[in-house]
Amino acid sequence: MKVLFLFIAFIFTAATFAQDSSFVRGNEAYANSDFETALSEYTKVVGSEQMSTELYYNLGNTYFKLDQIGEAIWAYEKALKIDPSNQNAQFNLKFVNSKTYDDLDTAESGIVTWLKINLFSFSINFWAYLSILFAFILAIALYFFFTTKKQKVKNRSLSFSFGTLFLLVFMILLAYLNKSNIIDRAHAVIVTEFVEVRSSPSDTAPSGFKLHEGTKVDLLRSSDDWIEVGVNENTGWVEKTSIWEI
Amino acid sequence: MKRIGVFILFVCCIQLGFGQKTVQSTVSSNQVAAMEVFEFQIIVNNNDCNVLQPDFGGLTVAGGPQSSQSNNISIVNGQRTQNTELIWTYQLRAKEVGSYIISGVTMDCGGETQVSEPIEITVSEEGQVSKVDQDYYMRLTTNKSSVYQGEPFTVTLKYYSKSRPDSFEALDLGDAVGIYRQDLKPDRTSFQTNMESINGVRYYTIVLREEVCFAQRSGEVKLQPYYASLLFRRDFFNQFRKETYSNTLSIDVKKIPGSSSLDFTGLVGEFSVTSEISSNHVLMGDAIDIKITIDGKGNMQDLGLIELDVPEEFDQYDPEIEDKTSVSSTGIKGKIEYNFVVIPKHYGKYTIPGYSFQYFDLKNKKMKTAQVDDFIIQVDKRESMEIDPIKTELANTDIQYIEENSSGFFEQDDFFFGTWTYYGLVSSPLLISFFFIFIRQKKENISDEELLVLQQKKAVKNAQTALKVVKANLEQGKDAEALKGLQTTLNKFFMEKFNVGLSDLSQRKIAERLTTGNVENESIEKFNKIWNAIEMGQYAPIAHENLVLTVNDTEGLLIELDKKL
Repeated sequence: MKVLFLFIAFIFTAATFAQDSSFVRGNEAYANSDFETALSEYTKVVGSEQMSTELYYNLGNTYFKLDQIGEAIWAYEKALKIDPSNQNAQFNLKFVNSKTYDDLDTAESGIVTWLKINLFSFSINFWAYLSILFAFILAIALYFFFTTKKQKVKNRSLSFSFGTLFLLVFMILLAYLNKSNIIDRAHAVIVTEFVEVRSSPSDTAPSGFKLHEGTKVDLLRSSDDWIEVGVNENTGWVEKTSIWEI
Repeated sequence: MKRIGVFILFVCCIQLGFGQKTVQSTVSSNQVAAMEVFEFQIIVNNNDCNVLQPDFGGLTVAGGPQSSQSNNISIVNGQRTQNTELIWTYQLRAKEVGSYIISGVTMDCGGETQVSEPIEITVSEEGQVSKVDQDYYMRLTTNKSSVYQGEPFTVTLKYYSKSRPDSFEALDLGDAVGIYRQDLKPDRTSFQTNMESINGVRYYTIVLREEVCFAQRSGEVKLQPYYASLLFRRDFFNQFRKETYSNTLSIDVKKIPGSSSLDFTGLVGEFSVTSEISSNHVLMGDAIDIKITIDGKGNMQDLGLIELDVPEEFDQYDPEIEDKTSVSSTGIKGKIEYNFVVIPKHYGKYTIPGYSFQYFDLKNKKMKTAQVDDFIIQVDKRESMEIDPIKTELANTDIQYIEENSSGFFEQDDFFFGTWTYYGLVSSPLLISFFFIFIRQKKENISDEELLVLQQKKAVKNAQTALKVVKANLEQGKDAEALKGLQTTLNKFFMEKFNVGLSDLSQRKIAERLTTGNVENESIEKFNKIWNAIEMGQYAPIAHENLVLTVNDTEGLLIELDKKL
């Protein structure tokens, strides 16, 4: 297992070297309370399509220090999407959420959160490599099952094969879900001070309700410059510029 | 009723008690209309001095003087006081509009002279005199019109009336937003009536209320009009009620310089703080009494509940407060004692920071700090006592700090999962496994015919291998063994080729099978020859050269037969 981790780490090393400088410069600027510079450095890394939970976490802190609550929440949500078990990000998100206006019950059920925290915290590639390993084990177990003449061995290898198969399917499913969780953009955060949620994608459409900065919404569908969002079973259209997709 | 121009009075009366000799001159009104008659009185509280008639300054005397005398005996705290009052009354009148001054009345008491205040009379056109009720009114006054926030000031409510009030009925305090006020004489049951001359007009005055006030915010604060209702006697049988409102009193409140300091609780005045602790060295679970005494003068009511910053290893109870203060016109004076009880729950050396507060020193107009030293308490272990775990709570005052290191950056393309390589790698072990399983299965499930074919195919190879051994034996000269080997090889070849047992193997049967197998006669003959040679060799030794020849022949025959069969 250790070797596997080292292997994964090795794969990431190349990318890490490339982004180290901007990330480190951002950290230094943050430490010196120069949040504007920190923001521009972190944004450079984000702009290069690189991501990491720490990058988004630090970006969230920087936005918070610059009093951009909506953006800060967006960044923490991003960080937690990559690593749901990041406790500092959880804490800061909770802290910043307490400063938002809309008090919506957007929390997922306890089991879903628990699963996310415990399973999505491993990297996707970890599950990928582990599934390959399990495929090997399954292959060997199956070979034994089909070739052995000893009934005892046959029985054992059969049940072992089933167990391995179950785990293999589970890992592939998990990796799939985790990947779509990171890549799919199903949520967004309001980043303008407040936004009128309209009943259809048009400026003239009647406004149903208002959402304030920092509120997390579900994304439903989009139409030109408008996007349909859902919040607590209420839906409506907002302009794309007023939200940042997580 | 004696009419005299200049008069000297020698009236002898018994005067008991004591009283200063005073002379007063009053008018019934100092704003009159022309030709209106008003009264002028000279009031003397003794009867052994010479009083001279004043200069009326151009006013004409319409009547008087009439003299009257009143004796007033009061007993206060068992002390008897008698006052004698002599009054001379004149009726005066102004003929023209203008300002007149009645000079002060001079009283000569054997060389010691006293002069009353001169009175100014304003005479206006008839009908222009203001009809404001100047006979009954109430004034709210203060000793300081500009104070610091929290600085004490006194407010006096005084009632003025032309006639002597009979009884006091009700008092309502006006609103006082931003002011804390405290009655200076809350237990008062009776009111003292005094005489006072205002601009020469004589009034009965009563101080209805005296209070010490503290402004609680800066800016202008106001005491809204107070209301009082008093009863007066019209004649012996009839009373009448007079309801009066006072003026509004505005106080300018200055902000205390440096009042934004956190330690400043708003105390203004002079304060000191002392402390006492019952013990500095205790066992766990023993109660410690800490007494904080704040002594001073000022707005002590603002002190409120004080808090000790006790370490979390201590149980703390709300302090018992002993208030030993009293209200005076200069503020609230005295001391307040706070008795804290703390109980240590864990051993060790602890410091309870001494209590301190800032106050504004009114004398020096400076912020000062009053404080007591820290309490250092040594708590020893008590073996028999269990230690309650103390919950440590993180202060939720700021976000967590940034991460200095990143575990790794990645792009969306870095995901190994979902690539063709991944799918290939995850499925290949299974595919390989199934391939091998298939091969194995294939081998195990082979049919008899197929097995036979395989066996027949192998027969010549087996034979050739065996012949090699035979040849080796020949070379070593082991002819007998070679012959035996040759026979076995031949038998085995036909057994495999024809799939028969050793018992079914005879020269005739083999020849028959060969014939049916379309083997050329030449080969059959060759077989018979070899077979015979071997059989012969079992009984009579064959020459080495012949044996070599036979082996070679056999090899050739077997290859030929293998092709045909």
